[in-house]
Amino acid sequence: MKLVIDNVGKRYKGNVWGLRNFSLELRPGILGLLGPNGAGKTTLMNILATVTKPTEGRVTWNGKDTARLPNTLRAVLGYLPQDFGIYPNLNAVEFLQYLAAIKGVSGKAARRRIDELLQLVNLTDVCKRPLGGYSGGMKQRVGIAQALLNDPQLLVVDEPTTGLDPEGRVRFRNLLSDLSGERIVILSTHIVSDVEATATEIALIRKGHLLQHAAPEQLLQAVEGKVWMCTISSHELTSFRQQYLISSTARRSDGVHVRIVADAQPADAAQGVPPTLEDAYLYSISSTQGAAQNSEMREQ
Amino acid sequence: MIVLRSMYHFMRSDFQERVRSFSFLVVVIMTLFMGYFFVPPRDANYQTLTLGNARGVYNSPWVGTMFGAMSATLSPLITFYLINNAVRRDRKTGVGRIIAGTPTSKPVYVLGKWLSNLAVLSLILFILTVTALGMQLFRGEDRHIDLWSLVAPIWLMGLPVLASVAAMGVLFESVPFLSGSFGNVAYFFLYMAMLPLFIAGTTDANGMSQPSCDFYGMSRPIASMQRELLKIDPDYGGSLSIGAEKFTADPIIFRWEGIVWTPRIFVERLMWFGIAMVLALTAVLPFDRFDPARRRDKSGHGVGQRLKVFGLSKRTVELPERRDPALSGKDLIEVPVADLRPLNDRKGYWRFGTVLLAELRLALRGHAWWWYAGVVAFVVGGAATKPEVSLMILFFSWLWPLKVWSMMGARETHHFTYKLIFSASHPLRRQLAATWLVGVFFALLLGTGVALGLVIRGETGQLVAVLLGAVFIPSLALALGTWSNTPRMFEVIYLILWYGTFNLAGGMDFKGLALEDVSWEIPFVCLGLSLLLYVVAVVGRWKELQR
Repeated sequence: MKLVIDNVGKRYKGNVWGLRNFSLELRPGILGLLGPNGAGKTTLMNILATVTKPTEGRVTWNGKDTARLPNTLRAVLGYLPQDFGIYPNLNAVEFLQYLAAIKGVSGKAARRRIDELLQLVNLTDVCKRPLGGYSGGMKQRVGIAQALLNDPQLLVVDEPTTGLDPEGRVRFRNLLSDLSGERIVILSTHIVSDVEATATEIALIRKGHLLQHAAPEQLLQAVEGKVWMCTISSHELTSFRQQYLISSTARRSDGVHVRIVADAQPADAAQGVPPTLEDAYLYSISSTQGAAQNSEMREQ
Repeated sequence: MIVLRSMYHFMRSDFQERVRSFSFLVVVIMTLFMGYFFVPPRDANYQTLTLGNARGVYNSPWVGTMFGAMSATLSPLITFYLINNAVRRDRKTGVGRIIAGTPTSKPVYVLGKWLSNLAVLSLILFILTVTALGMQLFRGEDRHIDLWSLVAPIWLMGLPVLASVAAMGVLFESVPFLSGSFGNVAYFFLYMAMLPLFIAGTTDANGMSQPSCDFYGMSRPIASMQRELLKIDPDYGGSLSIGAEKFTADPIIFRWEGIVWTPRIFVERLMWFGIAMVLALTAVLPFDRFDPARRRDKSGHGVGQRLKVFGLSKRTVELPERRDPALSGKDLIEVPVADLRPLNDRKGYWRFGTVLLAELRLALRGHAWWWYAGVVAFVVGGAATKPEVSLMILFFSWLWPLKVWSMMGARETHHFTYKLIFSASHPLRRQLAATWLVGVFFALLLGTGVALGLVIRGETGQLVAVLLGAVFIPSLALALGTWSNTPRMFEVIYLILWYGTFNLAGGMDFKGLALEDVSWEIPFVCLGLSLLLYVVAVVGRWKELQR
């Protein structure tokens, strides 16, 4: 089982490249695709899901070009798009039955699968209600269930935890971990904690280019000894923001607790702390972009 | 002042959104095209505005009145379907919910949408005006341009009528049961019913024009034309034709210099404009202001599947956001272990049949009980009545599944499910073909009763015609759906075709109608056209898949 993304690029109208010279080789496991908004994650997801074709380069699944032979991949693909619709007059079971048929799963196997999936995504109690009345989070869970209908070998999930409550997110992370055995899972998100909890490898993407492809440990090692905590006064915060890459702030009674990612100790009182993946992500992204863009990233 | 500003911005943003769409470009091209054909040359085999077998010289007053008459009488049929999506767009995009959270009142919103509709229609009227000017010069029967005589009839006749169309658009969108396919059909029949009534209102018992109840504003110019014609043709009987009228001989050409557009006429037209505004305001009553609680109840009663709950094992995991006070100390939750059973029988069944059944189930869902009752009534009625009545029943029964057909090919984009559907295997070979077959199934189902009667009576010729119709309609629907990605295009074109065919077949009188009267090539042409339309649909879907 091997997915190869070979020098893939996608050009949109107006000569805008959503993705450029992107290469990756994937084997079973969970790949966390991290990047800021507009980095090209969804473009890559659409290409991998055969919804759109690359302008240049090619994607192969077990050696077969997915643009020329899309059905080879589609038969074993589970795809949860970032934005998707539902048929409002169908209930969850009927909608999943419809998609199961479209995906080539039918009869007893489909019914059993749907039962299991509805239980897994915690929709059993509401499965007879028409989808038109579902909340955003409930629709997202239907989306997760449909992606797993055909027992996919390649699972592509784009911003899957959007709209889920904390409990739903935990359920989904555990679900991904459980499923990751003999399949390739690609999790695209800008929520670092989702990747931190599940991914076996991480790809950082920005402005359509692959910045880094590494194991989480390698990313963490790169920022080891570069994360600091210190307490500053509120009026110092602005100047700190201008000087350093700040990964988080928390206001406390004794001042503002600031988490800084910097090569050198930013202040005498600053103490080194173990890095998180969020620190590593910010460090990697910021090392390739200007200070103004850093600020935008932190807000995300 | 704030109210007016809000209304203006509703109008402006909505107007910008619409005129920047590709579909509007298509409308502009169609308008130019229609404008061109509405001014035929002297030796053409059709004429558009005629009194008996005469028409006026193409000078500014005549061309202006021609375009005014077209704007008032014919364009409401098409333009309604163009503007009938202002509220729907806000509902679909979620902008409506944002608006609902603002202090905007219902009258301001409704009037804003009416103005937006009117702005779009005014732009079309402007394009028609420019086309009229161009066509007068192009035909060259009289190259002298009298701008006022050209422009005044177009705007004075057209604008109040289009203001009413704009109001009907908002009103139909605000009434839940009129906001979809049923509303589109209802408007079509309303237009067809009102057109002769309004035209009749412009003339008296002798066929002479009278200004009372003159919604179209045509009575004065028509009366003036008639007086002018009577001077050179005393035998003229008062007949008037708007729209393509077949002419085998050259028409009598006479000179008409137009009328004086008096302040009284302006006031009369303004009155109709005011009525249109009041009509738009009535939409305030049914308008739900995007309150989901006022939409149709979508409770889960009815058809559903019994779930056999499998006992997935569970484990306890920690919530990472446990420090969040909003979670009120809930640190641990139970989640099921995803030990899903593997799917082993990936290739052990006939997949197309499964997709076909799934498509059929999908098409059958979402209708009110009376829709299913109607299907039964049409089937039974078609079989149980006299031949001439049964054929009439067939015509009406083939309006019944309009909603099902109009969604064919467009449903995936309309409901934004295309990423899910198109990423599954063989979307062309399986899903599209299954969709088409379901469409054919509905046509056959609704025609079952009639077909049964034809079989019993041994009328094989008409039976073939019914079968060909059952293939043609879904093919047309699928082709238009895949290329337009909206159900509306099929609804409009089908209704026009339906009405034309219905009239060709004798309207409400089907006595004596027989396939033997029709040329033998017609069935083959119909079948060939159906196949061609299916290929067009496949190409359209293939193109979508190649994005």
